[in-house]
Amino acid sequence: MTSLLTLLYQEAPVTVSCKTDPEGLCITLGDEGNQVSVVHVPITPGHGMFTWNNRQYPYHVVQADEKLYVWVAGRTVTFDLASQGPVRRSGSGAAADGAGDLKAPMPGKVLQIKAASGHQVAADTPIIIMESMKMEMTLSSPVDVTVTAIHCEKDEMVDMGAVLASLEAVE
Amino acid sequence: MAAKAKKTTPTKSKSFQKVLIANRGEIAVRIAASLQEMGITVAAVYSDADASALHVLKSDEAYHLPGVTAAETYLQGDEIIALAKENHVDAIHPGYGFLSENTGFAKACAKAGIAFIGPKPDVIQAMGDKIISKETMAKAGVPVIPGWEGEISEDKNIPLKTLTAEAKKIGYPLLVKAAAGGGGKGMRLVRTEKDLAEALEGAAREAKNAFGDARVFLEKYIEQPRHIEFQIFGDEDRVVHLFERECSIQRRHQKIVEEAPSPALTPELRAKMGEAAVKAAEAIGYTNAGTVEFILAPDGSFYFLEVNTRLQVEHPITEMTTLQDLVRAQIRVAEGHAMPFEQSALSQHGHAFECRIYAEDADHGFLPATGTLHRYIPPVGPNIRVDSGVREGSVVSVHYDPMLAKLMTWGKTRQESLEKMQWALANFVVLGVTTNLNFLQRLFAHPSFQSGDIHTHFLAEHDLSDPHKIAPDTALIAAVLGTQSNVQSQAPGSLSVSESHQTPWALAGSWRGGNR
Repeated sequence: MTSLLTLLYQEAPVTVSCKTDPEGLCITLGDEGNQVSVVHVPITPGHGMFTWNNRQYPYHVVQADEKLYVWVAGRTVTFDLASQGPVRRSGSGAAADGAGDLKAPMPGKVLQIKAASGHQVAADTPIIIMESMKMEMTLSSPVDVTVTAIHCEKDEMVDMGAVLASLEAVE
Repeated sequence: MAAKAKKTTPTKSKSFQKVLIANRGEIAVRIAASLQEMGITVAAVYSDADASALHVLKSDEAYHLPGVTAAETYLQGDEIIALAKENHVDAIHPGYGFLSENTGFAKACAKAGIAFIGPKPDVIQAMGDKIISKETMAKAGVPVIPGWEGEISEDKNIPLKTLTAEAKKIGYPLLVKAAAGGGGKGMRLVRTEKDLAEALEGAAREAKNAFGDARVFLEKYIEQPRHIEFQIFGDEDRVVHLFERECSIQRRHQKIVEEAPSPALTPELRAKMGEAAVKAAEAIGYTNAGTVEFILAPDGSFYFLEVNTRLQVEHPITEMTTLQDLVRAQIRVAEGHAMPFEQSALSQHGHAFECRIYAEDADHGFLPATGTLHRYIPPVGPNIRVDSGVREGSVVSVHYDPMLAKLMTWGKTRQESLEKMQWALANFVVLGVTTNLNFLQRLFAHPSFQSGDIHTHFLAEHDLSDPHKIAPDTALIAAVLGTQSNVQSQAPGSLSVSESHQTPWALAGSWRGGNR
């Protein structure tokens, strides 16, 4: 039996496959096709232990919300499931680049909309102010932009990743 | 004073039969434990979203507060008091946050004939106002940070020019802080004059939203400060301190890691600061548990920051190093008894760390994370304490604080406690919601943190971002094996699982043989 898994780690795709042969489990890692041999002790669904190079690694794996959460020997690693396409993350509230969508970096409430469609906004100037878990967060662009559309309303509850405004870089 | 007679007149004290906990999460669970140990019936309250929350499961009775948001539920003081009266509750423990520092609520409890487990309403009011508390402490001879305490509010519009001049007098950098503030809300750091106007506006708006009070003030900002706080406790006759906690590891002005004792205090400085904390508490006639927070500058000078008139989040590390149960003591004092400790009998033993386990993405600006805790396995071991507010299957929503649990370790020395924390962090399994567990592991592995060289800007100045740009091989192997066993378990005939239990062991023997 062979199983193949394609995952996204920090937006980059990575594949891993697993083949059962008489010697044990043969696992192929990444595009370079590194092969490793492990011994697997499944315990409960999504939980078990494997031995690799004489070391034991207990693990827990949970699939939820288009993500694969893995805990292995003390480390927690989160993968995105490849079928969903890359999830664009934006750092600390700012749009990743000048143009494109200003997305909600967290689920929460839109407190204030500081710019209207058609407005030109200087770099690092607040465009939208959000609130989540009683913390305020100012969303801005790292470069000068023109706001081409606003897609949210004041006091609206928005999901993480919701597009709040469309921006266009100023030439 | 009539209060003085209380100690020798036990008839005036009243044993509580039933106590309502006006809170949720880990603190409600922790308070319930002490109450139940003492034979007191625990009454919980819960929002629509919390009907099967851990704090409800751990209570003896539970009353529904319709609604979801904090404002609709856990902040509904009148409704909570009505429920308490209806159900013959003797006292209310407010925990921290929510109604814990709400003077109106404390007063309303008294009016309803229900004991409020905390200090007196006038003390909460005075200390809740950062301007009044600072003035009170300055008068009592407790050192305070230079600043400008004039009120800046919506209705009292002070021209920016005046504020700019005041700010110049204090000197930059400075902080704009909310008068009703706490927990970093309504606070802005201003490094240059050009940012002052925006900071004033932002701080006032955040303060208005968080506390319904837009008043802010200015304060000198001390570079590389340590946050040192003293646990205080008072009854009708005395005030004592239970030594310090260092809470310098913060993000967004909120604490993440605390320890006791502070690696920065010499016995002399500890005695001096403890004395100042007791002086501060005595100046306001403090009763029950509280905390006096100080800023410690690198030169050893310290300044009063604020008094928190509640049980602190980080109280367990004081409990672990002083061998006391602070919640028990709170209940005894609220019942009218003398507090169960004397200053001369209190001492610090060993070293304790606390980590706050938050549902947040430390690699992306500490943004709060939400979701369902599909796997939740706290570490168990000698001298490890976990105060959890969640269980497996709990849903972490946007409506409440993102703190899932507190993880505490105790060791004879700081090093031993630190090593234990590293082990405990590595053995805490939380899957389904992004947490700061990896981040905390990187922090505890950092040489500067390990040597105790910390201050409140530690996280801003040290890069603790994830150094791994590619997925670890072990995680990939676990991913493929873990998803495989999911498939297996769904297949009819679960025997395949128990069969595979034996086969790999047999294989392990021969496989290992090659290495002998």
